[in-house]
Amino acid sequence: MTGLVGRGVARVDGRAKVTGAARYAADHEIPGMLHGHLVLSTVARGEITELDTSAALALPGVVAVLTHRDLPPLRVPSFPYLKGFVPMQDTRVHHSGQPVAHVVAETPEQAREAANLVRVRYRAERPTAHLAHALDEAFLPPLFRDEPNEFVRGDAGAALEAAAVRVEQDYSSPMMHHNPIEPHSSTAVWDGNSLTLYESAQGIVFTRRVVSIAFDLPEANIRIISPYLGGGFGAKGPTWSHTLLNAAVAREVGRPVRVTLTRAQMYTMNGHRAEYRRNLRLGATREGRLTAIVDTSTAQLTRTDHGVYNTSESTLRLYDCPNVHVRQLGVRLDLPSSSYMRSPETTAHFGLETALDELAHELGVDPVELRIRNHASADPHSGEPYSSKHLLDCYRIAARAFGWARRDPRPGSMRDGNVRVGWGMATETHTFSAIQSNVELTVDVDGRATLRAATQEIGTGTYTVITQVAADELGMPLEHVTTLLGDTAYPDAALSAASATVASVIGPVSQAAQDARKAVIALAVADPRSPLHGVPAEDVVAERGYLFARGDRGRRDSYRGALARHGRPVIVTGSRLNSSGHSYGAVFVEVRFDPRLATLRVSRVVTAYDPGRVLNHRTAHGQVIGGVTWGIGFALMEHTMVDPHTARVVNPNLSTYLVPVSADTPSVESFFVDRPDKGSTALGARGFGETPGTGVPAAIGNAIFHATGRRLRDVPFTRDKLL
Amino acid sequence: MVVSMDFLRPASLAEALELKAANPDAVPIAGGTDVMVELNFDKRRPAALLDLGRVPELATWRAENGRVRLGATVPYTRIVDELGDVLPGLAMAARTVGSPQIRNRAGVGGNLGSASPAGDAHPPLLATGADVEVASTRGTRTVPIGEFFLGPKRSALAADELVTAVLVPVAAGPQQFAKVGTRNAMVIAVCSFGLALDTTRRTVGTGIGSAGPVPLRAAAAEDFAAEVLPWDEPAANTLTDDTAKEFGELVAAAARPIDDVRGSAAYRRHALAVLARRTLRWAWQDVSGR
Repeated sequence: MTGLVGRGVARVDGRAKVTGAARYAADHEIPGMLHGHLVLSTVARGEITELDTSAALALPGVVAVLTHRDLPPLRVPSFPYLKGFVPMQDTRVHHSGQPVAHVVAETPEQAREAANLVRVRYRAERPTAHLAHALDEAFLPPLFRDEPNEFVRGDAGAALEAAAVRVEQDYSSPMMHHNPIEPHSSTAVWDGNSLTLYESAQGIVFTRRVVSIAFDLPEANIRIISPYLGGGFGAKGPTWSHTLLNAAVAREVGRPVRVTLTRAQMYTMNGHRAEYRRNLRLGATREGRLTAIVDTSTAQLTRTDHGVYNTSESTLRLYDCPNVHVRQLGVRLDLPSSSYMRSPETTAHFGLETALDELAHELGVDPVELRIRNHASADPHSGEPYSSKHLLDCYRIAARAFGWARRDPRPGSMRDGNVRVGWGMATETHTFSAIQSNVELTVDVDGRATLRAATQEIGTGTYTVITQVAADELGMPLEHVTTLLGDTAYPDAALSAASATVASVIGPVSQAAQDARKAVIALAVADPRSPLHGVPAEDVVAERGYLFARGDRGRRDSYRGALARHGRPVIVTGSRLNSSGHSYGAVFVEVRFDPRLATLRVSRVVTAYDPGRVLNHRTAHGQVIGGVTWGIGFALMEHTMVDPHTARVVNPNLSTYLVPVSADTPSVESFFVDRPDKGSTALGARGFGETPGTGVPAAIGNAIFHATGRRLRDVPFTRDKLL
Repeated sequence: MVVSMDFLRPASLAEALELKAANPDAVPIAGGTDVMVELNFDKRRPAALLDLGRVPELATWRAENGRVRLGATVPYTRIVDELGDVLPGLAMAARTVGSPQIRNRAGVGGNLGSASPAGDAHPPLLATGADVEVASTRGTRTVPIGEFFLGPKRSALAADELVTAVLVPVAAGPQQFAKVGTRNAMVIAVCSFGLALDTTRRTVGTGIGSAGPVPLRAAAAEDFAAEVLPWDEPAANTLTDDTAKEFGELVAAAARPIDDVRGSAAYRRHALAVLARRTLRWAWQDVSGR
């Protein structure tokens, strides 16, 4: 142990990324490769009646134009394939922007041009595009991934009736899109009955499973390669239809084919955060103790699947309330499938944390104090104790750093000239998953270590944190350890989603590194040629690549020496289970509102978190900056607009789908309690990535109320709502 | 057929003008602020792009006869760094254009050539009464800025002409620029306003952006302010609320906005009145501080 864990070391892959040496999915050059371009449907519901590919086929360079008439049957895979159908298998159109043809040409430009020339006629039916137009069709969807959509604890109805104070309000959020900066790309290379995919995938092991089902191929015949991702945010977690279609097309044309989605195609091809309506009813005592929560949400679903991806987890589990009734309803619309998008629980949490602020105002209780009074010291739904939880410290640390004690609670009371200043806060929380993971660690004859795992670097610092932990346990300098990820040729490991990577992978890494260190020490002490010969193994320590006898540092060997004498590598594997759970924190926000122009700025953000042990303070702070920025986008800007008549996305680009830029984002302060969770096998670290940001939309809305006295319940809080 | 696009790269102004004369459909490109958006969205497929990035004559500025002759491709970054003292209004507007990367490449010529009503450079050029210098193989002429814009994305440029420079009077008093966007950067203005005071001649210049078919001046507001501003006693408190309010209302009345995705016409008028009031106060404070 050399104190590397926790230190904010720089990204080990930083140089490769800034110099362009890092190979992303679309950077791999494959000899003989063709380029595909998808033709997407222009109607949202109906049948294809005519498909004319002749003009496209006549273009120079075009090799093939494949449609439902040409593709072999593909089986509809199970989770994490989220669509209820595979496109291009029949004439049915389920949403606008559904693949109807796949053009293959020698260059991307030729393929794109030819795609424009494919003529498709439809028998169009009238689509339903907005929740508001079908709310009377809301229903309780059946189990999704074995989880129900209704949860009951106690008797919320009766408790609400009897409550001394009640808050009942409706909240809403629109459809939103992930928009990773790297578009999805898939390159299919067949060799007989074996398939290699160069893929932008957040979960290569999952992708392999989906492809295996669709093509009825053994998993052993499939290799997925994804060493770097230019962001994912959930958009690349599930496997989407372009991957399957492109692989099928590559097999048909007998050459490798690459398809890369355009930005506009990324608004119908890879999921989105569903539009939601939410009715929340809170019951409380005059002292502010919650006695009842009734949370009824209505999500946008499709006619071919019924996944509810934004669960009301925090309603159910965050506060110590004895009576809770959660119902997650849905409405079937003629839109593409929704999916997971960064911090999916934000959707519900925005309503809950806004409603709590409304309750605090109604009761005249400070919003922080209200949350402390309802703090759960054991899981309120299961009754299980937490292995570790320091949320109360988070409130205290962030409130003090923010200066919350100086807040005048009266709305509109704080001003700076013409500008109204508002301070708001919210709890931050998200679940994290833990997925069975395995790693392989090789200490080579040069005394350097290589770690392999089929997890991936989504951009958050996975390479770095794994390398840190391995180097620390091995007692090697950071640069003696190389981490290789993103290839299913390596041992199966976690998805880079659901805040699962650190929680799942770090235990196996740590275990493998310990075992490798012990194995090399055992070699040294057993070898008469080693200066450590005969020293009890437990008395040998490893530091900076050297092995010392404790108490007699003159007796020194090294990984390099021990391995050179051994003459062959030492290879160990690590495998360890962890459990899922929650991470917690608090966010405090200052907004500055210009009442004359109705312009709003988020001017200050202070946060504090309990993610268990922090493995790298720099990457953890990076997650906070990212999460808060996402929260600002959720609160103030992001909004996918769908035309009500055609059910088409009308702003499928980054110049009309606005996300925050640097000028919209203040510097973000973050504090960490940084105490290991003894229940976590990942060196006491919990999953954390999706926790920051979950409370930001509510905290901003609460700050707007404090600044103006106006309560906004429908994100995004655009200027028309602030006027 | 795959449509190919010629990429013309003149190395001198003379060559650029010859290429433009020979290819009147060629679209000039410098920073690409507007052109690249249209290409990326497949809204436009010109037969040729005329890259002005290597034409040295367009990338310089110099002072001449009380004016700055600002080359069409002098990037906004340099306008901010080098011309903040003499062209403060334009420099303020330049700071709000796009992102740092765009400001490193884009200049005033592209803004004028696109003639978008929302171009950030237009309000300060209107407020200062700049002239636009345009050239072709037929010769060079100057067009007063007020006559340059003919309609949305239409200008007085002939098909064979290029914008070569703007001639902007050196500031003779405080100048201001303010803009409202749907976020704080990297966004097209909902509306914008430029103001230039000339404390010697005791005149006021205005420019309204993104609130009409073309960038506009508010002549009535200019005349009113020139008349009533207490030029003889330039203390901050001599600008009355009534004057500021009336000025704002006259500016709003001069706008001819429409409802669109960025904002409603009503909001634009309202916001322009606020921006005009505020910029007048800021500018008057600068007068009194001199």
